Amino acid sequence: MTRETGDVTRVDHGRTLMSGEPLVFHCNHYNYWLQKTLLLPEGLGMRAVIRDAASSAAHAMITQAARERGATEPAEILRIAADCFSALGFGTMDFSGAGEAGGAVRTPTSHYGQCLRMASGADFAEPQELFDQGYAAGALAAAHGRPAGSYAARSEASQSMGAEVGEIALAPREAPADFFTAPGRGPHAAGDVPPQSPDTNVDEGAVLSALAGLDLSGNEEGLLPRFGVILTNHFANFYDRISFEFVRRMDGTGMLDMAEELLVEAGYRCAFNTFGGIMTSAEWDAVVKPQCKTTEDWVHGMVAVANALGWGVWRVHELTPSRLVVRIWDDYESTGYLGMYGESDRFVSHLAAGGVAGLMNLVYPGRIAERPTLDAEYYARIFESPERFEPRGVKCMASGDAYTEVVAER
Amino acid sequence: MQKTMEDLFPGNMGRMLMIRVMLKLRMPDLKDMPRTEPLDPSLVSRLETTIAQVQLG
Repeated sequence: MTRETGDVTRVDHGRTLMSGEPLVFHCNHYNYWLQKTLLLPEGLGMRAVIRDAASSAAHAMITQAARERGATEPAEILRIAADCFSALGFGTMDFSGAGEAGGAVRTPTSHYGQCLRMASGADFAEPQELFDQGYAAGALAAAHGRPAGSYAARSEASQSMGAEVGEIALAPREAPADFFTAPGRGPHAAGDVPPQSPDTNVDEGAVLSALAGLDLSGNEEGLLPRFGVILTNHFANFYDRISFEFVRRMDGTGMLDMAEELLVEAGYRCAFNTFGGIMTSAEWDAVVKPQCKTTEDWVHGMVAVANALGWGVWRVHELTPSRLVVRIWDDYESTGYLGMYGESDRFVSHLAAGGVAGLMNLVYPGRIAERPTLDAEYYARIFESPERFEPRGVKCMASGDAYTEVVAER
Repeated sequence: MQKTMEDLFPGNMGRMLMIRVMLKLRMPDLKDMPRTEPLDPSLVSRLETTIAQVQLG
């Protein structure tokens, strides 16, 4: 399968860019729980925030990708946009019904339209394809050389609501003056990161080399099923914008702490499903498990794999059966926050916090080495266990620290 | 028998569900309500309706 996408660049600290936009792997479970959380409070305007964040990141990437490919005609640029959409695991997008005056964009397959239902376990009350709408709007704007916010998008048919094919209606509009601009890679840590902890049998370099040989792009349907979940290679700036705008808008409601706790929980569910899926996969059995001589090696092994996800560089600073301290350089939440809002007076790395605790819960109370079935009952058993780990954000790059530090303790 | 917060939101899973209901209803006071005291039936009805909504996709 030949796709014409933007240039993929590996940069320091485990980060990957496509045409300048940082990418991170996340699964349908995280995408579901994050979006579900953001849409809970009425009146926050989060649907528009999600659409606009997608539009801005897509517009930035596609504009740059078109330059890299020498594409100048709208049809060429939209082909690149459709290829990127599929390569990144978002599905398939057909722009043939859209022109500069707007029109209809179809999504025969869609991660948000089809794969969130697997994670929800229940029907949806409203369309879930807000990302698709924003991506389509941003792509059309990029194709016609217009600013990112130049098209309004709405769902005409939603696969998440039962439609066979998704359809998005686009209409031109005046781009809002304060439209969000994705900051690209944004500020990042200077200098070297300490080496992997010596207290393990796992060779992180070997793990990363093996993972680099896997094809982690979308299949013919533009979807990315791996490790028992459906992955996306997603825009870090999208996640950051929608998460932090949610936090910003919850400030002053008396529920800010609770809102942040739900973002941590989304990370926890991400760890449960993605880390759990990875640690029970054939790839794990082939590459990592043979190196795991101790229970602690399972933690080190998963941290090595996490360092291939684009989330920054994780380092195990301290590990006992009752405590894990992880230090992270260039965690994408911190770099995104700094690029969008400047320095923070609060810990912002909620996904990382949930991920660190979730990892310990899988390895110790969850006994992932015994290959449990990763279902709702197993999740509830760990979450209700008195032996479960809770995370605490201790340091944060977004607050001026040299690295982000998360402690998970029983 | 009148229901309590503990009945509606048992355990840690229940606590996370309560937070979701709290955000949905914009009722920060829920987190300070006594866990084991009987609730007003009208509040129970409102909470149960919201729990059902939150448990939808």
